[in-house]
Amino acid sequence: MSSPQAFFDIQPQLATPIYRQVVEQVQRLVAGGQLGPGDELPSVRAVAERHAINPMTVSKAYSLLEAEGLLERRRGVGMVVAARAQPAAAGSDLLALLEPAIQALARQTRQLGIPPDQAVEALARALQSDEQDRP
Amino acid sequence: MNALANAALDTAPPPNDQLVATRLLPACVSALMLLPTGLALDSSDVMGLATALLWAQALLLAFGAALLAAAAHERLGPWESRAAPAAGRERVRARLTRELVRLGAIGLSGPLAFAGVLDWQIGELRTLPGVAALLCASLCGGLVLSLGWRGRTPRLLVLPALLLLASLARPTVIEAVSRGDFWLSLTVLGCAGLLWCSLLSPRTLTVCAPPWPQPQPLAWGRRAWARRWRTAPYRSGTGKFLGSDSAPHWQMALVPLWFQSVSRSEWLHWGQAYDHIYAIAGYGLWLMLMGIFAGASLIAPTLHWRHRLAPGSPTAARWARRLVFGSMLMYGGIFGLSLALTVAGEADSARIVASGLGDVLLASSFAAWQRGRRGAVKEGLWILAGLSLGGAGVLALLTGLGVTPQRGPVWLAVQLALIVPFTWAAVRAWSRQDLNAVAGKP
Amino acid sequence: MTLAIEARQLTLHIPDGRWSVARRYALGPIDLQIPEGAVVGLVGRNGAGKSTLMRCLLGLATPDEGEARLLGEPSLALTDAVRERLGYAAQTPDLFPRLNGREHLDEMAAVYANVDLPSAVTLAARLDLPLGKRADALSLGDQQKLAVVMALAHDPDLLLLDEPVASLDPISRRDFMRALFALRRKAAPRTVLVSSHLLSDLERVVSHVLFLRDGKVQLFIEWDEAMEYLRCVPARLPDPLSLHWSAAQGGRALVDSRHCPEAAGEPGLSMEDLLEVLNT
Repeated sequence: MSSPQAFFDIQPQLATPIYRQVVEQVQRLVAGGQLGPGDELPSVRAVAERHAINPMTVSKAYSLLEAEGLLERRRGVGMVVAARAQPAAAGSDLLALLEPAIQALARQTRQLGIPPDQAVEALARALQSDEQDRP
Repeated sequence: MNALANAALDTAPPPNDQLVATRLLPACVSALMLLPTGLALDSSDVMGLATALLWAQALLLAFGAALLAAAAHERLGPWESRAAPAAGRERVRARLTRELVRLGAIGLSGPLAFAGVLDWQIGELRTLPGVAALLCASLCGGLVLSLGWRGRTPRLLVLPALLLLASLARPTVIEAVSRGDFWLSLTVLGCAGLLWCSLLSPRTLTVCAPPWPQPQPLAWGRRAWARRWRTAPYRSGTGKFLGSDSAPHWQMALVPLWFQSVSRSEWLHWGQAYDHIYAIAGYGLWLMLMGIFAGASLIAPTLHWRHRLAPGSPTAARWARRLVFGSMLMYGGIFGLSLALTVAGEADSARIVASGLGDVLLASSFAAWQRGRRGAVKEGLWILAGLSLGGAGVLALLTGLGVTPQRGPVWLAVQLALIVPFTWAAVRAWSRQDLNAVAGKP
Repeated sequence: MTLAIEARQLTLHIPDGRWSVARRYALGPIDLQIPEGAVVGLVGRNGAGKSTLMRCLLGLATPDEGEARLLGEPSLALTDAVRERLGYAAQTPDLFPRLNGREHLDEMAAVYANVDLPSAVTLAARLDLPLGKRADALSLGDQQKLAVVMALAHDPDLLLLDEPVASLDPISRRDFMRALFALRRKAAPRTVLVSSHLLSDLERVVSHVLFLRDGKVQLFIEWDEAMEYLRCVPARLPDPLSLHWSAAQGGRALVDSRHCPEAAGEPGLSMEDLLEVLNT
């Protein structure tokens, strides 16, 4: 059965459509390893019921992920994570996942009036320290 | 299971005032008309009273049919506002038909039995078809008027129905019809039957025209004093005050019509003796009817929450006084006026009016008292029983003791002696009401 | 793709003497095509004509020009077959005053063929609605709940709701949104047209959104599309290429970022922001 972690965090007031939030979350969970190949996802009805959203939205998200190849439909079980290798592979895919965060950083930099190269420096510093903290 | 549910009849209980108007009252009149037959009295003795009763029954049937049609119109509202399938309208139509048939059966049984006995005694079939025609015509007339007013039948039919019912105000018409031509009666019956079939066919009760506004007698004038008085709300069994509908207003308008026939039969003339069982029972019924109407048409200053919060709003005692005296004044005024107009020019018209007023005020004060008693489980029953049994009982007692009760100054004095304590009790009872509960939800 | 609701040049004239402002039509002309399975949020200010539009679509009001069709049939001549598949809850709950909730559901069961009483009773329990009290003894919020339960009782294919949750508390609103989809017994998705002022609730469930202003359709768009691509850019002067220009806040224009790529960086708009832009 799906673990509680697989229940998504839906925030309708964000600027992203709900289906896209679901898609991105599933992508992040798979990329991060929390969802492995063969893991079941909660059913469309369950997600819609839990978050009081339209089931069509959820099934749209699942269909998109199925088209991407991230999920596959299994008879009698529902949607499961496709059996493909850990998606550390395509760098462009992962970069696409970072896109919203990068956009947000860029927007805040503009709003605060910080010169861009200072922001880039700060980002590099943050990444370095993060690297050092990792085992 | 749904098939079963579909077949289930719509048996939700009707409201109390509808029950009274469509079952109790016609049943009482029918029973009264059965009395002479049951007691093997000679029918010709009681012809005058029987005519009055027949006339009353015709009016009751018309009024009852109108009430039932109004209730059907209300029940259709939720279905139409939901764009429901035709099954909704079908249910309402079926229920209306059932209730009209029940009303007709109750209302026609007594008079037809009486007329049948009369014809059997005469040996000629003359009164029976006439009575049947009259009552059926008035039933259909009331139905058509009510449906047409609300836009559910072609408006063409409203005027003839109105004329028909207005003609009932002349008792001579009653007498003429009830002894009338056999074939004329049959023709009228046939027309009534046709009208019935067309009114209650499956296609009926669709909206033909926008409904006309409901007349509100007290709010007609633009004067502030008229607008601020409302009919006192009904109280349901749960003790909550609910809104009243416009039926009482119609009841108020009907009753003055009764006087036309009543005055002819010397009911209110001084010197009229009430020692005959028919007369005693009739008096009980008469008081009861007036009490019911008076109890249903209590008026009081409005208790809208805006008025209650505004400076100068009345205390409970002051409001109670206004309710009781206002209602008695209005009710007595309407009755007295119509009675005076009816008997104007006759010999002892003043005495007749006095007798009528005595009866009306007695019934009105008693009804106001009963409706004010907090904790009275069914105040309607008290009104019915108290007035009918009390009135008839007193007369029966007096007759049994050898005294012939007669209309006259003594009679009036006794009534006055009863009116005063009843009024005082009514004011006291209403002033103890919690105005918040009376006003209902703000 | 079949159309659940269709309106062609639907127009309603203002009765004389009602409004003094120069507005010739109460409604319209409106052209609308709502596909089956869409959940449409009808959004607009008070007096924009939302209730009037719904009544015209249902055939409860006769339009002066144009026509409306529901499930393929003209609204003014709906057959019983379509009425069985239709559910409507108006702003004022039109109930039988002397019947209690259970009796109301029994009435629905007697008139509509498809009523499933147990699920209706369950829904009433979820919404915390007492079914034993007479309708005129219920509070307004409870009356609205009962009206909504009755509208859902026969599992309609087309559901029109006019401010169904205005008097409900937040938990009941959530439960109501869930019930909209959870109580679907048939396989085909239900078409819903909901008008509400509680836009945060609508944002969760709608697939399309219809903005109405002064009786005219300003925008009818898929909500996902709106969220992704509609952006507000500052614009001093009205731009003919924009969807809408608002004079507030120094001038803003509503643009589609697919046509104006420079707008892609702007923050996204919630339904309330969009409503505000479109109405100023």
